[in-house]
Amino acid sequence: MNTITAKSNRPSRRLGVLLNYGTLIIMLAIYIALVGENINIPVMAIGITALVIFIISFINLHVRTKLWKFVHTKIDNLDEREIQVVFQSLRHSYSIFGIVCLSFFLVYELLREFLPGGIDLPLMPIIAALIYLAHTLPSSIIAWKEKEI
Amino acid sequence: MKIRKIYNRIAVLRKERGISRKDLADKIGVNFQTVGYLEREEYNPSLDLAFRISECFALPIDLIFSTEPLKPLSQQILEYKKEKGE
Repeated sequence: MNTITAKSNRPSRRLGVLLNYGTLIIMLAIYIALVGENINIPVMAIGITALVIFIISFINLHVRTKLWKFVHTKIDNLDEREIQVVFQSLRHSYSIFGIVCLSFFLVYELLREFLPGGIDLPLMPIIAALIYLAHTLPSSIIAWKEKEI
Repeated sequence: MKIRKIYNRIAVLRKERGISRKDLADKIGVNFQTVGYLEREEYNPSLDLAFRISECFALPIDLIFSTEPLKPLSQQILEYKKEKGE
């Protein structure tokens, strides 16, 4: 059986989820705001701090708890409760990701269409962030919901 | 469909036999955390797992699991004996 034995309590895991996605949004906002602009040192410092917190929270949340490995474990190596936990997290992440993606593209299209002069967002980092979200959402949901991991 | 809570005596039986959660988990083929979830009645086992637990404790399945809160085992045995006229 696959075991996720690293001890971490739920409040600290929830804080990790908030920090991870919060810093991702901050980095994305800074990148979008600063692309093509002169480098602003205080904003860069915030960006680098966000990157450090993002990496640390990723390691604590997904690597140390072995949640990343757990979500990607073969079904044969999980017991029936673990299979149920993984399936439920995938189900929830599918709906959350769908809503996030569709909302983003809807708002983007509306702004592009109706904003005077349109908008010119760099799409690559946004798409990279969405891919990261799709990949980490199931383990983040488990970290958020489960009492014991 | 609303899933009913299944009550069980796994914790009592395991402690009575002096086996750890890890040992029980190995015997019934699950993760030891799953044994914790079962003992706290936070997870309803499948029929297959319920049978494996019943075989492990060598007891009938209805003595271990119930859809109603379980009485202490000693009280249930006394009631059973009364019913049988023993």
